[in-house]
Amino acid sequence: MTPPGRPIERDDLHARLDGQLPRDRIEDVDSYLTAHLEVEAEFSEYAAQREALRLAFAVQASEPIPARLRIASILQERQRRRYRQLAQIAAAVSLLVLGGIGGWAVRDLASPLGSLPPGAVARMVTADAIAAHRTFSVEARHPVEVDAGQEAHLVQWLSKRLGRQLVVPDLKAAGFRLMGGRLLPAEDRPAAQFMYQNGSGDRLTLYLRDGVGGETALRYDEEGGVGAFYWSDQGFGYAIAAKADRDLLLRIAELVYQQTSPNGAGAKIPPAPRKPS
Amino acid sequence: MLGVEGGQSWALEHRDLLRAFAALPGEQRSVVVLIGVEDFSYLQAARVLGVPIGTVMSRLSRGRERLRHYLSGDVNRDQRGRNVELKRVK
Repeated sequence: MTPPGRPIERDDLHARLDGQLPRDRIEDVDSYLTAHLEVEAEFSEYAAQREALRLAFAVQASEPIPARLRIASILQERQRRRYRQLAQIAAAVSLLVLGGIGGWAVRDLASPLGSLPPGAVARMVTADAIAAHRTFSVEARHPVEVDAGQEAHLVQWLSKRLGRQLVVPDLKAAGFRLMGGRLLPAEDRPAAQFMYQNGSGDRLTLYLRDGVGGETALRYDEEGGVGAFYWSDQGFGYAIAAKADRDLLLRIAELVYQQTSPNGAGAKIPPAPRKPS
Repeated sequence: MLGVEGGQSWALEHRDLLRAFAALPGEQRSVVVLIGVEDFSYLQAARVLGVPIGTVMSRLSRGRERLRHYLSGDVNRDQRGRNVELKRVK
């Protein structure tokens, strides 16, 4: 057990917030917070931030959230949830411990995105895709890591890293030619970006990553002039991003979908586009 | 239920929060989600991510701190303003 009087550390304060502090330590930490108002204020902000994230991920915007929540009220809520979720977590963890058995299913469970609501995943992946587009589409000298001249190598490499055979869509019908691609970091696994350019030098990027859960309806998002359509199909997330109008992006999304979906060339882009929520 | 005005402002906060969250380094994001949203214990998070528990704690601490600064529009303060009385477990 923790010896009494051990100095309070930041880890203790986070553990208090997350309900993971040993019982015999709680009183010490609470006294510390009462005596250090500045630290208490900081951790109250973390508590509010934590609760706001829970709400954002739960996509439950039906109740107002106080601007600042006190640690105590957060802890009560936490305690209730904790018991409900313990069994579920135990099951997930025991599967993880089993390791190699049923590798694919375990992979998905192991992904931080695998257990999140699809709407939250869509927002996160779209934001990543837009950020990646903004970062690399302006590169004059190094827009891609491997250029289209080595397409076979590019596809083989990225397929290996992403853990499934990738198809590089042909977008010539929309006037865009492949420039090449690159590997990008995402939560716990890599993502890939393919970049295309048209005759006027406009660039668009296709962002791909695994482990996003089942299927998600097509959704549009825009940030700083960069628009993106996102959808997921068979656990794989796709986002098309460009500084282009929505109709052009939609047409391209459809081309990509037709070439990557098992439904093949006849496939219409699946669900109707939705306004950003 | 929310009034229209409140609804809009919450939606905006939602958006800002998710945007700030998306801007965190991936390793911090994973830890903040697993622990803060998914209710993993520190030990479980360490196992899932394949890192020592001390790493989980430091990523959690840095992630939350960074998110706080993003949200207060003060992105440059990430590394300072730390209370020197508090010793971090590495």
